Amino acid sequence: MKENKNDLKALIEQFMDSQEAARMAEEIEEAQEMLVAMPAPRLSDQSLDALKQRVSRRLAVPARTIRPAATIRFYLSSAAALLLATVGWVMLSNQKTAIPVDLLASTAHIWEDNATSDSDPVNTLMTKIEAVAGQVESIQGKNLKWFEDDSNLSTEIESLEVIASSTDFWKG
Amino acid sequence: MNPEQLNNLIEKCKAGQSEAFNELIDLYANRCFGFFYRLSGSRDTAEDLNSELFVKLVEKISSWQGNSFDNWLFTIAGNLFKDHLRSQYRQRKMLAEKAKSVIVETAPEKENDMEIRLQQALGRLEPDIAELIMLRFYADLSFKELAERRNEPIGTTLCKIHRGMKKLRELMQVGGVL
Repeated sequence: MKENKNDLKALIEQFMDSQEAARMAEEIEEAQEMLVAMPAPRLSDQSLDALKQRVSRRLAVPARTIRPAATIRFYLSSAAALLLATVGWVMLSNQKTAIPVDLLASTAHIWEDNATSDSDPVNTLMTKIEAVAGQVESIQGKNLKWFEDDSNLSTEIESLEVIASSTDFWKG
Repeated sequence: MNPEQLNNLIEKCKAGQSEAFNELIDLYANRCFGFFYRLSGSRDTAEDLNSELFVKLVEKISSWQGNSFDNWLFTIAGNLFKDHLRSQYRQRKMLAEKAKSVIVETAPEKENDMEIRLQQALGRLEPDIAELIMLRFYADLSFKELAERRNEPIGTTLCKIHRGMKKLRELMQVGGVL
């Protein structure tokens, strides 16, 4: 132990009164004496020899040949990644963004359409209304097939009544 | 062995001399084994950790800067034990529970039981405090060194060790050993 009993008491006195420090130092000393009285078991000679052999085997492994190889691999891969990133960044930053001609043309067309619409919105709206009105008229002009012939309708109703009276599927 | 002789021995170890390592093992293996044994309570675990420690020492000895070798060596030992604790946490908890029940159920009859009781008492301390006590005892570290090592005020370290040692004695007294 680095501190003897007196050193320990002096150290503890920095934090509490002398009487309390003496008691605390005494308790620590007693516990330490107890540990001294009960030493831990020791390694057997066989275990000690086995340990020495293991350490000798480890010493025989050329660690220096393994570590530099790993270090070189690490630095090489890092440098390669950095190089790739730099090349990519340079290429992207130097690339001129050319706009395709057909895209420009289509954009111009859209603007032309919009210009026409903006200049005569009432006409455009009227054209659309007329188109919708025409569609409505064409629908009204057509007769539905079921109402074209009343006999068909009455036959269908009769057949449904027969089915309803002869079966009880509808009862659930 | 005085500090100068120890420095020379470590320099030889750094040069990879097998005989120097054997001498270092003769000097420290039993202390480190005792440290691991007291903390783990298992001879097999202590031998495994001790073996692992000296293999690690071969790998790390070149990084030793010339300060207290004992402090440096037991720092590695403490870290190894913490790694072991993490991996064995559940098993250890189960064993601690079992140890508690053994204390209640059995009474010491032989002198050898003192050893068992001490291990059980150590097992009932907080692992952190048990490690501090063992570092104080086996690594022979002063309170100042222990406090620096743990980055805490010396008063805190003192209190922890006092509390742990007091509890250790109480547990041994309850067990009827002292």
